Amino acid sequence: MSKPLADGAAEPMPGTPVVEFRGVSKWFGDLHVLKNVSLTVKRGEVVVICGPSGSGKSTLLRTVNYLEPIQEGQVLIDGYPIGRRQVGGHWVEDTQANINRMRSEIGIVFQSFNLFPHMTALQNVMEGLVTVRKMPPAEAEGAARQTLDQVGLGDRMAHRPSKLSGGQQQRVAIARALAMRPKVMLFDEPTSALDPELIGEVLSVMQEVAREGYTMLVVTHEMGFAREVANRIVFMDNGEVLLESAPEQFFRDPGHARAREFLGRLLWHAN
Amino acid sequence: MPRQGLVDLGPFGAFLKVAPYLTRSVGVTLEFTVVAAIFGLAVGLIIALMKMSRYRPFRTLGTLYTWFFRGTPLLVQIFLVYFGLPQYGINLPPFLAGALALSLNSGAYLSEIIRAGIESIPVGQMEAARSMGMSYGLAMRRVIIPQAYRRMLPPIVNEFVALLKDSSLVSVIGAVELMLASRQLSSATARPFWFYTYAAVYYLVGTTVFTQLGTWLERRLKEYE
Repeated sequence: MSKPLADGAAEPMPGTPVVEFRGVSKWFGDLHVLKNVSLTVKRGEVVVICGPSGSGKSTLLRTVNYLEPIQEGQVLIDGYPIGRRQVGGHWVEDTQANINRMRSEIGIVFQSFNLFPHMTALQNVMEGLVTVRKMPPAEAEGAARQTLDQVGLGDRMAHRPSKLSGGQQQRVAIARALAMRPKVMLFDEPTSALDPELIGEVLSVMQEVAREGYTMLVVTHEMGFAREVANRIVFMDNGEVLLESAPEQFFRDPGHARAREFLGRLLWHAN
Repeated sequence: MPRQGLVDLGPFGAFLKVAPYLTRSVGVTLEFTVVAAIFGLAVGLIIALMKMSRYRPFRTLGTLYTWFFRGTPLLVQIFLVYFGLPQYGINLPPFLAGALALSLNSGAYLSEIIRAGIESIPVGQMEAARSMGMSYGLAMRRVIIPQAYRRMLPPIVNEFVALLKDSSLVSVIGAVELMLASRQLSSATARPFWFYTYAAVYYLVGTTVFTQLGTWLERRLKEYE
């Protein structure tokens, strides 16, 4: 990847918040899955969210583009609340048009890729540019080709997802999100569905995305990636953010019993 | 129809003689089937979307619709439209009444096929589409329907085959399609076995052509996957 990935990557004001969770709470019925979460992700930061399964990390990530509605608090993107706002003391859901527009500026990569199987890799990457951004198809194709080149799939553009390996599919999914030049890239356990030998290619593309200066919020169990790429590690358990710390400190000693226990189990598995 | 003449010709001679008349009535049967298929698909799509709506009144309406049209005999529905509506000043000619009843009826069955087809697409597809900023309608059109219709095709073909056969029921309200034409010839000649056999053969040819067409289409679509 030689060419820069994003216009949005070199933002004029580093350090301003891109994603801000303010007292976010969510329930599934009686189950309190997010408990008063507050967290700020600044421009250009790579934040890794980790924690045991069922701790609410994926749910938290999915509140950023309002795939998961919340019942309390707010999630702000570039200072603007997504999904719900307070108008005259009442909470109201934002218009679909507003939600859609904001979503088009938030990239997300799913655990199960979710590529469109009836389209080629190239068409997958072009789709949002043409139908949502209304870019002329020729221009969109150029942008899509360039993005696919950057994730190393220049020779797979005409392939359908079913003809690609899991690692290649996930790289197409990353390209699909990147092509929209999003303000933030969300990764929801992007390597968890992959065979071990395919994880590396996806992680190295993610590392490149980080190097381009993208703001990234990553839910993952890949502690190697967290140690090398993350600016900050957030540890969640039971719907709560238990701690935030720099990776060096987190891996030396997270300073919290449950985080220590979690790390111990992971390292045990890694060896 | 020259009555005695037909009987003297024997079963095959009689068939050749009435073939043009029967073929015209087959045309009417096909018209019923095609009209009901097209309007049935439109009705079915609307009802399916209602049943998947996030608003309960729509869902309830959709459910009531299928409940009624699948839970009552088609013959009763045809009678309601043709004999029942005139009581309120709505007089429909036999063809319109029959086509309407058939469309409403097949709409109920098709809505279930369409809903099941759409719901068979993994939720991740809708999530990925909406995450790009697509509206629900755009996501349906670009992502969900193009995948779902391949899966819906075989049951939809089955439904059209059923429609072709069920169109025989509209003979009771006097639309001269294949079944009524055969009944007229049978009573005119007192040779019901001959003429109902011809009718059966015609229906069989029709349903076979439909089924084969469906199989061919299915194979074509597989090639694109």
